[in-house]
Amino acid sequence: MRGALPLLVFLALPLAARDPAADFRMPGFPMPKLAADDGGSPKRFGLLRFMRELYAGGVANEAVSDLNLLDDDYAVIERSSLPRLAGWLEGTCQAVGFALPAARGGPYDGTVLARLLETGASLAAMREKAQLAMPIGIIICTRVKPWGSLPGDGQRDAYALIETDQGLQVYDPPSRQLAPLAEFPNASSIATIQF
Amino acid sequence: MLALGAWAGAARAADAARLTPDTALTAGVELPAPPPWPVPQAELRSSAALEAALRAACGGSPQLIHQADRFVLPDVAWLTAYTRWFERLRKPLHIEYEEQTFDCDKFARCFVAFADLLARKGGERRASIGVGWTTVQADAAFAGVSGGGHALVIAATTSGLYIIEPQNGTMTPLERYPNRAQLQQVNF
Repeated sequence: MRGALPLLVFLALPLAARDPAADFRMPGFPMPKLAADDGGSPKRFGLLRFMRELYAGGVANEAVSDLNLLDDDYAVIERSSLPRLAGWLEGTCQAVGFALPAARGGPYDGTVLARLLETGASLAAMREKAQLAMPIGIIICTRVKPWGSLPGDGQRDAYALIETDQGLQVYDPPSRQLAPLAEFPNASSIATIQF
Repeated sequence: MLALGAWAGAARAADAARLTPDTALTAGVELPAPPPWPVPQAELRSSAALEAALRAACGGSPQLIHQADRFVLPDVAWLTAYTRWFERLRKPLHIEYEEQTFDCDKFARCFVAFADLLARKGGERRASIGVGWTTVQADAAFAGVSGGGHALVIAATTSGLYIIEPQNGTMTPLERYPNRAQLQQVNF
């Protein structure tokens, strides 16, 4: 028993010396399932389809006319993949000690989370040789009307905008709220679309 | 009738659909030990101050896009260490340039996303980090790239604004960046 104590101390030393802030482990990047066209190839969308959907969703002309897509073709994600993407985002926030559900309790910047989501999906798409840009962007709008737990208080807010096989979806990571653009109550007050 | 309409609107708002995240994730990715975030040294700046500094340094009028009204600025030493660390992510994350899937704007956004993650990991809760990305008409050569539209990182530090080519880590103060007058859209 007396001989076992130094051995235990020796084994525990490397653990005690580890700086938890130095470790950085994050969840593996989630490849969303891509929607396919009738021939089985990945469905694509570009500027024209995007503009049409934005207008149909009630986005104002000024925001749509300012739109500048950085890529020619984007993939279309199956809506059923969104829980996986959302799970990755929550897991990544947890990995850095950031409590996503409580994010609006302090200074909040929704662009950071939408950008992170796009980065995770793009890293997965690169690894899987998807050859298409991931259809995840950012919208910045004024909360004129309430949306679920989010008040209509006139504050600026940002959400992820995702093109799926069921049309454009607006996603708010802290509240986990998801709505088709056409049902998003503040579509007409979207000022910026970044894709 | 009006009251009923308002009530119906409130009910609709409260009924917003919620996603149930799938937390059964694939195996994790181990990253190199990152540079520690310098919480006490990092300074807070308003978006208006950032915009004024940007216009003064580039001489043009790029469109500034942001949600936050203030940002936390690292010092140049942290930014330099972070830029080196980002280079080291290429192997574990299998980062390679790929047209459309992972081209210049994805490189730039990836750089920004990880900078913000490191700040949060270091306990930064005051604001998001003043590291953003910009589109530019890259007429003059910088970091081996010239001609056509390009995307780069733009970082606000306690010593001013810097331009970084995230694909090779080249970094210069914005006032010395040859295409500074052609910045188009700056996203923080």
